[in-house]
Amino acid sequence: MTQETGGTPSAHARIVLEDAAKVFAARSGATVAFQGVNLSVHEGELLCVLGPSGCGKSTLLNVIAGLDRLSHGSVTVAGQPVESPHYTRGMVFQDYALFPWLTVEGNIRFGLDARGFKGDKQAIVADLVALTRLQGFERSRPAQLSGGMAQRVALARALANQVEILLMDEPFGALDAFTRMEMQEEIVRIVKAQGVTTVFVTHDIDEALYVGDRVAIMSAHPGELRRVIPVPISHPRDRVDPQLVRLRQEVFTEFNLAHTREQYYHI
Amino acid sequence: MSNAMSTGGRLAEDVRSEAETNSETANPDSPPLQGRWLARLRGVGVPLLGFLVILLLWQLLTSGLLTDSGIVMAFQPRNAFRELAGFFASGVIYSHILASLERIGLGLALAVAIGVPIGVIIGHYRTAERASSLAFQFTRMISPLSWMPIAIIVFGVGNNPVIFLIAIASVWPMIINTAHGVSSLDQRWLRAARTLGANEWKLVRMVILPAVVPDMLTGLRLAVGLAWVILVPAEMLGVSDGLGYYILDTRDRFNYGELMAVILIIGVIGYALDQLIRFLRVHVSWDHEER
Repeated sequence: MTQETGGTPSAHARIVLEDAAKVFAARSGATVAFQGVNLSVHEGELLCVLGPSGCGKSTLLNVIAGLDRLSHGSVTVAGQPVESPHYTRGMVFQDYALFPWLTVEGNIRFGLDARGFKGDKQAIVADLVALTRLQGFERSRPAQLSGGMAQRVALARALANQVEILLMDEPFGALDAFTRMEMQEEIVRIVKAQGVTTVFVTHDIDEALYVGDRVAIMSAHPGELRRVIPVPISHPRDRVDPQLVRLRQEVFTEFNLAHTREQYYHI
Repeated sequence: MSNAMSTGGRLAEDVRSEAETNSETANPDSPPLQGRWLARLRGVGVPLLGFLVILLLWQLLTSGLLTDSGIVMAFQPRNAFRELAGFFASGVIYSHILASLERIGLGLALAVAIGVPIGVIIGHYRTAERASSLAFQFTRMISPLSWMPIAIIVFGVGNNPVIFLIAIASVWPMIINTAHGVSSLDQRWLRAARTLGANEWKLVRMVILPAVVPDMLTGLRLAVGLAWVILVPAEMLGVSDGLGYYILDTRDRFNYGELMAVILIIGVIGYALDQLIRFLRVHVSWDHEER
């Protein structure tokens, strides 16, 4: 399991995890979120982390964000070890985590305000409102927004800090299927326009293959990285592209394989 | 009053005839609109009815039906309302109302200034919460009025001990509600703020404080209620103005009509203060959509 599954750390690698493990100590005993993870995320790529619940993919994201510390191994961004959150690593949460007492604009501007940013905040906010197509909602409150709109605000809020890395934790998990597909197209458009290195965590196979430049597949209990599948199809993608369908089969096999092995053990 | 009642009667008739001719109605918007007015009138009318019952009881108990004591009869509503009109005609009451409101304002300001920071610390740090809970639960249950002798020794006679008593009465709901708000804060907001570059101080100022505004206003509403109750007895010692002082003054002058008039004023102002905080709670607080 020590094999390099995410490609060799190279000059192109933005985020590097080496033999990374996270163990949560609890009164009932320790829980392994993930272990033995070796993964590199390249500059400007959109890497999807795909796996069932309990594979530690969200914890992996928190570790890169600096919200959680590794129990073992290392995580570096541009060669620097990650020790705490930093505004250049923006995060988008599944349930948006917008600040309900602020307007859409106030939410987007939050990072700039918190950092005491001295430049033209209004221009940055206006650009992001246009980029995320939130025109007309600047003065709305989060409670008045639909899920898709709220997630656009959360994305704009993260991007306002001119982030180098964008971390998305099942960002579309709470959206209906159609809004979700629309947002998948949007996220690819926006992320590629900004050229920001993105780690996108999801448990949706189709979503991972549709948005990801590469898909890192994780298994659960304990969370381990199984393999990383490149998706060499240019954007915008056709959802029924034969190559995509083939990759989908491959991913299914990857998850089924674990299942079959287990059955053999039982026999 | 009677105007409102007759309007109500007319409205009820309108709605009834409206229902009969509903299918023919030209304006489809009018039935729900009138229904709303009726509901609103009922919303005001029923509480008013309850208030009228109190007035009626007051009248019955002081009318000489139970006792023919002249003192009891001096408390009759009619005397109270006559004196009330006299208050506003002569303007004698204004300085007392102002003195009381000033003490309430200063006492509450002190309670907020002390209670909110303590509440934030207790809510944010588990150790602070554990260290303070016994001491606070103990101190909280001591009637604020028991501090009166100490207050007078420390602050001397005058405004200051009254303000102190109001502050010490109203600081507990501020602390407890703020702390509760902070400890039950949505942790995702803190995580999001940290990834956005907020340091500890910015977390407090930009997330924790705005997030607990609804809880602080709940605390303030309780605080105002307590403060207004404590004010009257607190003003009965060592000050020469304010509504509490004036109650004792009317007693000493055997003017029981005036005494009841002051009680009415105390009730009305207390009610108004409570409504003001409720208004803030609903219209200023960010979570009003949920209420």
